[in-house]
Amino acid sequence: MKNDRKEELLTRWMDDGLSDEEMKELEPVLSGSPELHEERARFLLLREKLRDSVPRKVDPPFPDYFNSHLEKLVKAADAAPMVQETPGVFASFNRLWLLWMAPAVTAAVVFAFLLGMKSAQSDNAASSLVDSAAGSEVYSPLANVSTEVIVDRDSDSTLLVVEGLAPLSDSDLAAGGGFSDGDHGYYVNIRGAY
Amino acid sequence: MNFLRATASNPVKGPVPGDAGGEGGPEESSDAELVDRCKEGDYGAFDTLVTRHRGRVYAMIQNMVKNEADSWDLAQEVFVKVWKALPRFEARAQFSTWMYRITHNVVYDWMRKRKMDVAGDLDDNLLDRESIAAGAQAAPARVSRPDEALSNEEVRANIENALEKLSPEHREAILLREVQGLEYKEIADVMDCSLGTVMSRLFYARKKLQTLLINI
Repeated sequence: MKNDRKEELLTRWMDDGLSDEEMKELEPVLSGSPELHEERARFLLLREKLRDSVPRKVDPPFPDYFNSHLEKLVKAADAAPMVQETPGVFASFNRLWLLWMAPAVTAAVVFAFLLGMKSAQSDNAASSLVDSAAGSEVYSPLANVSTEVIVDRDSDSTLLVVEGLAPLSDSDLAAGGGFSDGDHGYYVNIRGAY
Repeated sequence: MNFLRATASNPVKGPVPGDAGGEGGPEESSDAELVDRCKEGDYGAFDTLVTRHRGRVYAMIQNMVKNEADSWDLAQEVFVKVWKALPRFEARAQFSTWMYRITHNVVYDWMRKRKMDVAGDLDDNLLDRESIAAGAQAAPARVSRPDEALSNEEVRANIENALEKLSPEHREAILLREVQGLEYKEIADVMDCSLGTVMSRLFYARKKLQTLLINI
């Protein structure tokens, strides 16, 4: 008997779910391994203890608040603009496109930023590219990705904030000396490095 | 489905039943009836469904996630998704099975985000076949004397620890079958896998549990 079939029959035998025919099919296995009967008996006891110990139903803490809070979430979800789902092939295409675009957009943003830094430094080394207080935007080819550059003259550092992309991975952050607060990834550039 | 229309159409929420077992008693609406009312925009009916099923959803999530706060949030997320997907729900499956399927997706998405599914990547057919043969005995090394019997609390703690040591797939299969009482086919629908995979997961999960809980 194939292993898969044996596993299936033994599993259903444990649950008392075999037909007469299937029982006949399993008989050689059971007679060859009499300990399986003992194992089954112990499993049935274990099942009882499992059901006694792990409740089928546990009301969440603050059940009334659970319902009222859910109502608010549902209301918010209904109020949010509907996002049209793209079916089948187009959905896959979109996912692939996004996978491809994400690193490309990141590279483009960083490139634009570096280009801007070089340009600013060559024009006037003493003046900064952006106002340290107000921040400045950098070109991004995707409409839903925004960027901002913040220059801190006191610490001689530049902060590039990219929003709309997935947070940077740990390895990216380690390489770039950045950090993440969960929703946002930050890349810190010490101007002296360029 | 629009919430504002729903509340306007049914501003008064009736008394919420307890656990009607998914079908409802003689006085209570069945899940199917409530689902139909939800599809017409009746938020009161949805509130009743939530009250009826939140305990099972929460218990299932908590046993997978092992964190009360996250379980609460994830259970909320499940029901938001249920509400949003209800217009597309077809009564080919039971409402509760469909709800477990959404719960499964929400929990696994959460696990992926938390990178907690490392153990879940284990291949049943490789690891388990190597470690436990199909006919292998999972007999206790010795039989405990009555005076050595573990207290109920100890048994419960041991079982919880043993469940935590299972891979997420094995744990979920055991919970759906042994605790929630789903049929094999329903488990396959919930876990989005073949019937054969369900049988294999149950087979090895039971073996592992017996090995881990050898002293109870």
